[in-house]
Amino acid sequence: MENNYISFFFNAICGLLGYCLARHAILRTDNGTRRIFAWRWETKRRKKDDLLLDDENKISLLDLPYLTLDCILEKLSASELCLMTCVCSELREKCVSDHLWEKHMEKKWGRLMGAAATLEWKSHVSAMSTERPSCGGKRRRSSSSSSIGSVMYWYSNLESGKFWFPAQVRNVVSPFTKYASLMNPLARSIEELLPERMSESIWCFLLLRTALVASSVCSAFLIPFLVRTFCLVMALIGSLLSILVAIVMPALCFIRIMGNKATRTQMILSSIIVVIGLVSGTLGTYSSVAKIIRNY
Amino acid sequence: MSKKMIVLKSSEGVSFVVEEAVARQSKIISFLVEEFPDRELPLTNMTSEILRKTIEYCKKHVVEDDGGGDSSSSSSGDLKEWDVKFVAEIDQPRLMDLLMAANYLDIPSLLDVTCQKVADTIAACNDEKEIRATFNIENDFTEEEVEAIRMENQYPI
Repeated sequence: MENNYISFFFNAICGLLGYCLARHAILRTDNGTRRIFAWRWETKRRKKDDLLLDDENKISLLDLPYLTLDCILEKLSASELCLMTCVCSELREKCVSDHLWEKHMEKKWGRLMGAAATLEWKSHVSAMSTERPSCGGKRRRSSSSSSIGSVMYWYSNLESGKFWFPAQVRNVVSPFTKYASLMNPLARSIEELLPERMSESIWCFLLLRTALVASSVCSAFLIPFLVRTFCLVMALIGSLLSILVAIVMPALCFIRIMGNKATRTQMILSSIIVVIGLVSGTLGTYSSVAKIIRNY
Repeated sequence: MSKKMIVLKSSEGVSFVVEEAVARQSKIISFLVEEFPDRELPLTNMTSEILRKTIEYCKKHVVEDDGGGDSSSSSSGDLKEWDVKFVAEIDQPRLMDLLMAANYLDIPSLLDVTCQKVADTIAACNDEKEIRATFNIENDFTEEEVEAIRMENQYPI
């Protein structure tokens, strides 16, 4: 029992640390642009002096063949593409095109963006375009980029947090919703197997779900070991899943999302949190499994 | 392998004699060689300086292609280093000329290297004014338009 209290406090401390880190990240992104530019200015000032050489007799970037220019633009990062849109109208038109942004989208958000999130974005877009139908036409030149359907707009909305999607967070937030969201696909797939006439009725809907809940309750009672050693099972779940969800994953997500923009201290802190989480999770899992085996 | 030589002529009329294997890295030249063997190829749209640079690049790469076999990974690493050094030495206007030459002669690897260099140059610029100055681009936006675009694009990167 003592062991459990210690691990509880330990988890709480780790959670607080993770919270502070996330908070810091949010604060940081508020004035991120300014900082990035300041950082750039410092590190790349030296190169600038070399570049401003003789102006005459020089090919402009716009004289390049279309495909070559495209090849260059493909190599630019998202922030650089944004900067390029300010240069002139021709570059602006090129830089907002979807095929350039799709790559960045895929790279940064591709792993998170499932079909559901894409669908949500589309409905978000259609809701916005009905709200403000004159948005695109009002501005003469900027219409090409502020067109709401473009990938660039999507990307910038994701980056700025104007658009967000719940992803699978709901699954882990509360065990109650977890049960429902776990059961729903099962119920749906059973419904699909049934004949159409049957599956459409409301009674079938109710009966099926009630039966599923009843069956899971039955199975919980039928396995006596689960009931007898409930605290041990909870310990196992806590050390295996809760640590993963509450400590390891936030830190990993932070590292993944911030990438190389996080400072060294942040990276070290989050790595430490990950390591501590993994170690305590492994120890907890091991001890609870060992206890379960002994009790069984 | 037969060491057939090919003569390339720059816009100033200077002739460059190169091995066929070297020149064949350009898809255009390899096509022309097949169509018109035993004839010097005039490349009227590039200066001797750019042509020399291009040939230098091709020579380096053809040697590596032949030598590569057992130690291909290390040699390709060296080659990348060499490429970086190669483009680092070139200044901005010549880089654009080289880019045009690579595009015209259709040498994918050289095109890639030079494009990367241009992209790096853009990345090194702090604001749009610097990009305009570096790449000779005329500004056709008014101040308000630039401001509007900047507001639109503003997001933490």
